[in-house]
Amino acid sequence: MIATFDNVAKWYGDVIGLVDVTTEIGPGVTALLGPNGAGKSTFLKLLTGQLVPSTGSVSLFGKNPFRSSGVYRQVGFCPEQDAFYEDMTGRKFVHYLTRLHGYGAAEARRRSDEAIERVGMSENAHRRIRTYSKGMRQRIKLAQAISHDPQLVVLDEPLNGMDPIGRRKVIDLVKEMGAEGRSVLVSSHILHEVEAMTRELLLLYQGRVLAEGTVEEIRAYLNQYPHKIIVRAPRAREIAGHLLKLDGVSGVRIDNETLHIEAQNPDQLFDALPELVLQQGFDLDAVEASDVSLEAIFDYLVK
Amino acid sequence: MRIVTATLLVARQAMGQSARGLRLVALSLLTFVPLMLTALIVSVEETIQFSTFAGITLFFSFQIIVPLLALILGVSVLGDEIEGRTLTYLYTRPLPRPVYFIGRMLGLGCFFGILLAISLAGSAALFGSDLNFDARHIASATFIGLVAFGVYLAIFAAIRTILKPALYVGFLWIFVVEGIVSKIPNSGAPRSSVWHHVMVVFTDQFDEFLFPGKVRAMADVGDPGQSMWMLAAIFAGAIAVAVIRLQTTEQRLPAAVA
Repeated sequence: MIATFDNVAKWYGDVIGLVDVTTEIGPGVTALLGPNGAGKSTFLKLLTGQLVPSTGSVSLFGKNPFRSSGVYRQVGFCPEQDAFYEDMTGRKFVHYLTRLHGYGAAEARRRSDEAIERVGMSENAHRRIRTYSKGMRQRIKLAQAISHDPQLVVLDEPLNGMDPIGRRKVIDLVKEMGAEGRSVLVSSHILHEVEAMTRELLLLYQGRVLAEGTVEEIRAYLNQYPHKIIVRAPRAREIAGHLLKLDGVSGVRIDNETLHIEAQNPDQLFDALPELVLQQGFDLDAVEASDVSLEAIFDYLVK
Repeated sequence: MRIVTATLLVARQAMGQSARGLRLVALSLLTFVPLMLTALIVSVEETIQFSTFAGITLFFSFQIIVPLLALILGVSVLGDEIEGRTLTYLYTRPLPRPVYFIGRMLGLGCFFGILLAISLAGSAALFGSDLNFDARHIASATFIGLVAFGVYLAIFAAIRTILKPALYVGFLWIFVVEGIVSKIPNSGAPRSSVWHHVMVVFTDQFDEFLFPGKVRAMADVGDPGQSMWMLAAIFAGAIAVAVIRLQTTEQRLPAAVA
């Protein structure tokens, strides 16, 4: 494992940052998800050694990140805050921070140019940062986090304020880094952004880990809540009558030609639907699960 | 070697950061106060005495400008990075945290040295060559100014690593400890003043171009060797406090907590 949290709590006086967090971060893209104030930034700052846990321990590459600055050779951090040396050009900013990783001027130049290219900022890298749009600032911040080829990339709300094209580029870059075998930890409070990047989630709420795993695994934990499935079909009312006879179906609501089905055992429903089509001659226009989206899962978890 | 290179990089960045914008204007104005006073005196007086030059230029440069600039720059050694929230970038590089402190102190020291040398050289040039204040004197005066500046800078920068209102504490230090307290006669209080120890250490140089006789009399109360150790101890102590503080204190998250 690249990073582990062992019973970590963090308090700011009376304010709770994190409570009793035990988790591990492995390879691939993991999303740290939660509403504002959930403890995402505290989690990331603890992981990157900028904060010390009040109780418990954090280990990064087997070391205490607060005590071992050497671990940062393998870590790239893109902070949430919009903070820069405003008078520097984008290129100089990335170059300066890359040099502090111990590279000579020429090597740092090569690496920073490569990172700038990767985030799509080559054309604007010569401009002073103070002239950048919000999206450009986010991308140049990302470039400084990846220029030294880190094994773990930690991105705190990297898509904030980005235009759709920049957003797409960053999402692709995150997926690319994950596919390269790096660990990428991305925090966000916007669910669909996260869905576009990964299925691996760590859900935080009020400083606690609500759930972790893939979207599907987390959904499976929630079997006490009925799954919601939508079926669009011309003879909706007749189909509803048949479905209600199934054990796993707890309720059906009809809205014109759309059936909103609540099923404790969706597999049983999915097995039954083809039989209904064949035996009763029903036409089905669409069948879809409506609550595997992160929004739905999150709603369930915070209930 | 990597640490030395990183320290120099940080120093260069700190120097560049200071040498632009409003701060450059404000610091230059402050450093050039003696130069401006000189220009004013030169415009109204026909003949200029050396004592006028020493009184105006050197007195202002050393006793007022040095501690004030050290205070302003001292609180910004890490204050700039903390308030600009760029410290996060530095703290996530594979370097010990004191590198940033030492590097930035070095950069700000060089920045101040250049300003002071320009101010002194400009004043000397305005007063004219008959004052016998040549390049050697300017270099010597700049060196003394830098030593005093370095000690003050370390003190104020260290205070900033402990207290947020370091600027106010610094003002108290300059005007109360260095001012009122250090003037208490026969109390040994002068020993609390950095400026006193600088004068004791550099008595010969001061007597050569600043208040002749006066400094010698004041400096007689101290032993140059002892004062040199005292300055070194204050400097090293302040650096040690800052280093320990940086190595053991986390970076706070005001925005996230709020």
